[in-house]
Amino acid sequence: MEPDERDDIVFHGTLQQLVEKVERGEMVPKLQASHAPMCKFFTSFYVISGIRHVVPLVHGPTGCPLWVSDIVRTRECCEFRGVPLEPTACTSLDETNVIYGGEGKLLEAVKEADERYHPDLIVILSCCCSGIIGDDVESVAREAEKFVHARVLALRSEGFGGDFRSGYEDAFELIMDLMEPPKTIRKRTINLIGARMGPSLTEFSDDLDEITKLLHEVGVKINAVIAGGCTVEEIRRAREVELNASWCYDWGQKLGDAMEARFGIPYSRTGQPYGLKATEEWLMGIARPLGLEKEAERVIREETERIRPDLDYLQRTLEGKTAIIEISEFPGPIRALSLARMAEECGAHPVVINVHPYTIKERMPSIKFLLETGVNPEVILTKGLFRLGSFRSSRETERELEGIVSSFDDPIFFGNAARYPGCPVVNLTLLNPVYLPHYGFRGIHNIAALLRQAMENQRLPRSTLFRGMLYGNETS
Amino acid sequence: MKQIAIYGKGGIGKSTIASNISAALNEQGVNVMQVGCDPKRDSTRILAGGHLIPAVLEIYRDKLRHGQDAHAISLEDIVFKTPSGIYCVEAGGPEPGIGCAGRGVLTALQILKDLKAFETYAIDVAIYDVLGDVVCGGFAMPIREGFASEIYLVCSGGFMSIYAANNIARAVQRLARRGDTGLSGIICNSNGDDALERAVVPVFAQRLGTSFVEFVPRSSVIQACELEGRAVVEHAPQSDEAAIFRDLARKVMENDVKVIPTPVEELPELEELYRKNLVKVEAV
Amino acid sequence: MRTMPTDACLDPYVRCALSGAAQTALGVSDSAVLAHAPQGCNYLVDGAFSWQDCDYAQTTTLCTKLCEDEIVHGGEELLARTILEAKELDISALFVLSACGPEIVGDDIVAVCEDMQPKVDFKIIPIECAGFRGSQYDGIDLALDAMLRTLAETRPTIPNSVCLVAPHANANPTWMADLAWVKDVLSRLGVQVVATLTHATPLSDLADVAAAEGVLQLSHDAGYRAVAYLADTFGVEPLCAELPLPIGMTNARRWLTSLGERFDAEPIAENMIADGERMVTETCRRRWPMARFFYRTPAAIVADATIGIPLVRFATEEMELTPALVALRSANLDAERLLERELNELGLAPQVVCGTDVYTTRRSLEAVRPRVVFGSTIERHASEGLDVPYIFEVVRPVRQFRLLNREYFGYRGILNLLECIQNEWSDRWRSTQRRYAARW
Repeated sequence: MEPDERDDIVFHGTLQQLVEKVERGEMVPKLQASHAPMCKFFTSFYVISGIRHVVPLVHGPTGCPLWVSDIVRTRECCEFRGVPLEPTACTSLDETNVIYGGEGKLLEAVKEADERYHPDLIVILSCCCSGIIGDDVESVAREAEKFVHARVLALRSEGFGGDFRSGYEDAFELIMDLMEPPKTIRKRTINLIGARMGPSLTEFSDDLDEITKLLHEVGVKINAVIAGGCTVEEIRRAREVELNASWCYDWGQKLGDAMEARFGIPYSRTGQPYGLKATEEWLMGIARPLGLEKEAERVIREETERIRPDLDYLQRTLEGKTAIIEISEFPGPIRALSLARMAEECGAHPVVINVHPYTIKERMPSIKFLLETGVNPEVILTKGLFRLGSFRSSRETERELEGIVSSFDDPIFFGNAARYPGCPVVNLTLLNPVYLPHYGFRGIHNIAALLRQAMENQRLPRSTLFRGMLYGNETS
Repeated sequence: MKQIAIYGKGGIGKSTIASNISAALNEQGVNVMQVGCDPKRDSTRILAGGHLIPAVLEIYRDKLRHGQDAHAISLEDIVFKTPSGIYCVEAGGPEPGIGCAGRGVLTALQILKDLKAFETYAIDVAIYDVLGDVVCGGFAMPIREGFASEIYLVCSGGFMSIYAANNIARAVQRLARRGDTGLSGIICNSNGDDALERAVVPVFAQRLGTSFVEFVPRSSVIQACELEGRAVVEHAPQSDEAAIFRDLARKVMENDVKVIPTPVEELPELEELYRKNLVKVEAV
Repeated sequence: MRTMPTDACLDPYVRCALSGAAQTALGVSDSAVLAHAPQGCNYLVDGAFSWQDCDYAQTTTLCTKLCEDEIVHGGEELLARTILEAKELDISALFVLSACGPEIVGDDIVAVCEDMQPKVDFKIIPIECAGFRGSQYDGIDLALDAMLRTLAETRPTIPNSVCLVAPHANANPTWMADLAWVKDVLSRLGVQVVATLTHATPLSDLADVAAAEGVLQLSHDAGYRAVAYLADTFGVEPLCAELPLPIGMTNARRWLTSLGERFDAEPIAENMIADGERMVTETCRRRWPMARFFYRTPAAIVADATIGIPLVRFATEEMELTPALVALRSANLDAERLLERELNELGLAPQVVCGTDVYTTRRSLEAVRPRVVFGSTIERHASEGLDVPYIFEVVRPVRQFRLLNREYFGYRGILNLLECIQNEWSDRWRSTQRRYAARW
């Protein structure tokens, strides 16, 4: 059956068309089934936690900091990232504070946090309670600075007050208040912006290692990765650079634009370095304004030569195929779209499946940017995407995916191994460290290896155990 | 740019005073924006020819219902220019008895700030007309950093209106200690008991450590303008009342004094202050 | 010495009331939880979901995903709509939990639930459990309270029966095994379990809970209020109330003996004790756990009260450690009194912290300088630089993945604890840094 004849498809068109629908408000129902991404508080917290020796001071009850600090600080950073246990502070607001206001307690908490932890920076994060009762966190921050050694900033990050995007955007804008007028401009030095390589679940240091290595080969120095484990001192000196470059367009663009507007620091706008063309663009976008074009060209030439067999393999294998790309938590929407571009470059026809309209809305600036750069793949959304309950939704989308894949000639599935379509499955999950990074030239090598693995082993039996775990045993 | 906030007991005539100051300033060539911070959203009614303009929170709600967010709001959606050139904004808010009006004010003003409303329209004076009393944190939003720093209290000679003004002064005192906000004066909107008001309000102003700025008489001209949905300087430009508002507008423009008020802490003291003046007036 | 952290600047271990309420509600089978909250709070519900070991193929959680609009204008209408959405689920109960936002702006979830009840064929149970109402343990109490008040009915007492309260207020990462051990013991004693509040509990059990003759509280952190309510309202008798939970030989013996006496099953209880103690001793004789080499090493116990209090005796008696610091994550007077009794009986005078937070733990560790710590992954990192050679990770969060449930209660529980200790001991001796390279 052709895709358009299927009754389980609710949208089939280009990314551009989907974006237009979302902008008209047609596809973002406030349904249970629309997935619930993190609230504003979380993404604010993520960014702030990417700075060293900072105390995030949560002005709210203990639930808000705990979920994030449990995941972000305790488990994730200490166990996997080599980050020491850093403090999280919380004013633990109770009913009395909610009624009578919590500003006094907050001021005391700032003083205590400063005394206890000797941080370089304290960031007050408001959450639902303090946001509703209207505690003036900004004024408290200003007042508190008179009493403590650390800088004190405040972020209005109440969860209901904004979405995923507004959280990191506001946090990045706040960080700009730390940036001091430059005493000097450091030649051939950049900031990498938009990363949160510190305690966060979503980024992977292998990718950073790859692009850092490339930048060093070209002769570019990095002042700071903001906010990926940078120091407050590095942020202070962030205006001494010649250029900002984004680590991830989605998270970086706001800071890049804002620093350009406010400080006049140029900003290299490029997508993620997935695949040869995007990697070239990314590297040249930095090298050109710094006058390092020749060096960058040399690096690109040498690196390209090194991975020539991989490029040839990708081209040979993907030519004329349909690349069915599913957006899921790992690799995530922007990476998946970057991959669509890479697949197209290698001669495949990309079809993106089940990117939630909510995701489009949240990532609108970066999706629009991708559209501008010519990334406009075919998109299919199925009914199961909007189904209530994550099990029902994933089981139904699995069934739909299997059907859709079979309606294409020569399909190859790019997503993760939790799907069981009857075609080669390229397992792009970022949770298998064996095949990281995905960025840059080593990324091309890894993606080629993943593709080879999928093509050569497509006849091997899949795990009925894991399939049963994911989708129940009745679906066969 | 000058930003002033007008507070006072509910029903005391804040919107009337604010709107007439706005109109008078506008007449004097000042670029004015009036921001109504009351869920009733009728602050700018007499500037908008007796109509209610759409409120920020209403527009926001509409966007949200269409799956959009605050990013989709533009200034054109929420700022309305009267034919005479006054910019009007109404924060709006929930229906009585539900939701959180304080948060509404906070949200609406933040949207205004994020959209750089004052810069865009090159506003010289912004006037915030705020709900009756500072009941919770949200209602203090208009006097936070980036918003109004000069606060005027409106009261009449009624004891409860002075009592309310004193309570607001306590909130101002708390907030003023922290930033550059301060009390700039008291405006008397007369309820007709001129003698008492002229005696007690200046004494009260002095007690708070601020100045008594203007006496606005109870007048049928003002009532008539109100009914017509027009400002006094427009509807009755030759009247004495128009002259009073022009004078008030000029004083507000020239006044840069901001003090941390010294409100009366105990009710008996306030009663005593009032009683003394009441007796004085009766004796006369 | 007893200390309490201040509450202005806290680095908390324990989550908020919403989280505890969700943990409790998700313990009811064939139900769904609807969080009337912004979407971030729903992550707390997700956390509670795994805490109760829910299966995503069977249990669904919903959230009203409140935004600015519902905070300013009120969210009752959206809540009503979302309750209707749950109609497509095959459930017997829907628990509606309110978070901070809607409670501050005054959404009346109880009224909405009442209004919607005739429109749906599942039972709607509102639980007002905004985060600011207290800790996760307070949330468990709030939820148990709401359940008992709306669902428990007067029933004729079933002889030789109990109900179990707050098995999930237990920081053993696989506390379900503790519950399973208790149930097994009770069944061998001929005691029927009428209801468990809560873990995989059918809704009908909640209605029958008052039929129980006795109530066993399986936590020192939460459940006190529910026990009192059952006793006061229905005359259900609290059992083993003055005893630490059955971790270690003495605690297990006391606990089993007490139950045996109460239900006229002394011989069975005695047999269980004798068999259990023999099994533990013989197993140790065959495997020779290294735990025997810690003689009087100063130890810290940083845990919830449920595990922490009984561990004091286990550490002192079985392992011959000397507890020098006892830091409990929760602070309630009943638990404190119990701890005090235990310390007095054992003749110990460690530093005691109630309601500790991460900062207070770190400072206490610095002050006391224990050489072994019973705690979680957090203590592993919080003791960095303090020369603590052994961190026994026994309470949440732990680094080691467990696919199978392991109890700490009872006799196998002792072996499970000794196994944790052994693995940590081996890790401590594993070194790749001092090696020379082999010639492969």
